[in-house]
Amino acid sequence: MTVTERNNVRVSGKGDQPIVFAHGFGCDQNMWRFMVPSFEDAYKVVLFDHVGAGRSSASAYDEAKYATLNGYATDVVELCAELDLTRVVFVGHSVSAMVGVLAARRIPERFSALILVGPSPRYINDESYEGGFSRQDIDELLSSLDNNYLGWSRTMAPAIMANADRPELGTELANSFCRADPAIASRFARVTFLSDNRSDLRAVTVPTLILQCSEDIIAPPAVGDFVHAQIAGSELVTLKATGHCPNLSAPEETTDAIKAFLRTRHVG
Amino acid sequence: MSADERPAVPDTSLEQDADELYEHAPCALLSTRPDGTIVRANRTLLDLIGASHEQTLNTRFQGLLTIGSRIYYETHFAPLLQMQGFVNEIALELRRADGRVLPVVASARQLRDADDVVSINRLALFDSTDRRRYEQELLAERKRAEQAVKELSEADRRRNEFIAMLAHELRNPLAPIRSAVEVLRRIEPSKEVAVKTTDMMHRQVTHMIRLVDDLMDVSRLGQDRFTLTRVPLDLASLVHHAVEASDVQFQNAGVSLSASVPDRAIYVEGDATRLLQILGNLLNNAVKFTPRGGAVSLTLERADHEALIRIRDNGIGIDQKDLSRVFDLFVQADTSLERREGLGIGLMLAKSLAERHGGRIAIDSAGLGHGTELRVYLPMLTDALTSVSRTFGPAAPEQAVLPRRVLVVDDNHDSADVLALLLELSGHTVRVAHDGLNAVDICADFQPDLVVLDIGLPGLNGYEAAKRIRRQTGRQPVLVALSGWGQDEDRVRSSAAGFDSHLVKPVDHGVLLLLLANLPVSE
Repeated sequence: MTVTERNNVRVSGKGDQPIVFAHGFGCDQNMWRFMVPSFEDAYKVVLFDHVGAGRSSASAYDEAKYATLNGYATDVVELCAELDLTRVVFVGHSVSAMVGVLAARRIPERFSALILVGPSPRYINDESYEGGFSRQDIDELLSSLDNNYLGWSRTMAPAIMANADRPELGTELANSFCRADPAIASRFARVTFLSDNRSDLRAVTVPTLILQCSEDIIAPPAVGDFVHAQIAGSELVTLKATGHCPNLSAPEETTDAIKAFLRTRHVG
Repeated sequence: MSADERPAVPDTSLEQDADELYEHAPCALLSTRPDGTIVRANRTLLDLIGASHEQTLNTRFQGLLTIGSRIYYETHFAPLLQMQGFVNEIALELRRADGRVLPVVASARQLRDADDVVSINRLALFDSTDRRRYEQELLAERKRAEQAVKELSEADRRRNEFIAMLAHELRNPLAPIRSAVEVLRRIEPSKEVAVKTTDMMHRQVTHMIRLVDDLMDVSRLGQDRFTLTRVPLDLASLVHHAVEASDVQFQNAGVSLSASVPDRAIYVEGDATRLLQILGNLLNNAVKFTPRGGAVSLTLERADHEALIRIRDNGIGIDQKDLSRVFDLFVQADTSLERREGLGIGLMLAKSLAERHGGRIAIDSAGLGHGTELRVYLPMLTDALTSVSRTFGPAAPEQAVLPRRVLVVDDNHDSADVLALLLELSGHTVRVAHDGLNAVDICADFQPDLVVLDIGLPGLNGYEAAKRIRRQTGRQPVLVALSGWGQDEDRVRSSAAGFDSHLVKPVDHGVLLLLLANLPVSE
């Protein structure tokens, strides 16, 4: 299976400068839909779904490989190799910000900039570090994910139904974006919220922009400050947008911030 | 009916009051700004969460949720709402003012202003306490079902392992019995009753070995530890061979067997042993269900791109309702009067083996009393591919043998002694050892031409003994490994230890004598 098939890779745009958008936990490449059009004129836009999300190939899911974020980073490394991308601008939202950090560590020669949207290297508080959540909170989330399987399946039903005998159900169900395999999504949640990639930040050598939302309970401002302090030469921009998904709630502000950063770093 | 008794007209004026409708709607309603700030909420919501207007307005909707639901809201609910403009029936959990958790189902709509900017989100929440309980029950049921499936497949695995072990254990005593019968047949007893008895014992032991082999194969198929060694071969010579092998069985049963093959060879890529097993099982099946005086015919022909072998009998036939089940494991057409010996694994095994060759088996019967036809289809090789063809060799010829020196090593004394006796009767000089160390010592002294070495020996095992024998100076014997396990990994191991060939118990004496007859003549 090619990476393109496995990760449902979509390439568009008129430019040569590649910009790769990586979605976070809970959604798929659709979450970039409000931002992509403003990059297609001057960039080669690459979108993909993590294995288990969207229209990726769930059969490629390997529990051992994806037991840490490194497995997802491997997919990004393989994607860059298969499309032979160089000078990559990597835009990672939420957990994919850390996936980008890990990939940039492994193939810095292929990266020209990292854009981290709402990054968090660790969600659980640890001594003086404030991730925003206690271990108990995360346990509550994880058990709520397990217990709310049927609640989940409502959002995830299209993906399941699409494979069943009656494909027409899949398209008729109301919530049609952000499809995911429920079993994989549950493991992905575990891997995401129990991850600790704080020590990987110092190894980043690629020019980095951190986009921090003003009110984000998933990645609070203190976490953005921590990431900024750890990555030498990084730039931190606090958006007016609130919540965890400025790519959806404030696509223009997010796009402008990225373009401004790339201009000052002479990328693209 | 008087005017007084007329039923009163219900007063619906209350329903004209929009505020009243909103406040006491049968679901909780609230409106928020895009960032989740609550700008309006109805009475039903306030009752649901047990809080006042003042406590609720201008706080965030997210703040009403448990931590788990809040993360779900940020990662699923809010993005979906922004992408679609609505969400339907998402399960969330509210934390009431008194701390209790309340499961709800939430739907939402986005409103946009004149500039197409999102201004308000409207949400409706339904208390789903009961529904959640049912869902939990369903979920628990599902987990129980998954666990049951897991346990079943584990039980299945253990059963397969047990059958493999059982077959292995059954094979061990069969080896000396088979050899002993062979010895008895060779000493040419004078009395006719002895000849009859030993012939009967030979038939029965052969039958039992076949059953045990089938058992072993079934367990290996179940464990998916089955590999074929496929080479291009001519089906016609294979058919001849199968007919020859079944000849005695048909004679004893008083059933005639005829075979017809085309003049031109038909090549398939197959494992000769396994293809013979398929034909053997089908012929065995045919003779079993055909009464004395009946007839079985076997024909080989081309059918499009496939080779087709038909085995037709005029025996008891099969009822239509049973046709689809005959290939299932352990199934015999169930009419207790007609029940024949056997485990009901022969056809299933034949079918699996044919499928592993890329072929298939079909069965037809016009009904009880009208005979049965079994058809084996195998993919045919094109002529271009058959240049490397290999014909199937003839059975071991009876010929004058050159006397050889043979060392037999087996910790089962009966097995070793009776095999030694048999080889002596065939004119060879034989020594016996019962453990590995002893075998190595005798080898140095006796200088055998051939060593038959059991693998499972006490102390020094067969592999180790073979390695030590290979390190000895002087003439090197041909080393034959003997084990109850005929699996591929055993063969690889024995070859690495220095063995020249690997035989599975109970050893076929024809093969062993042929091996001896074909040993290189030493100077």
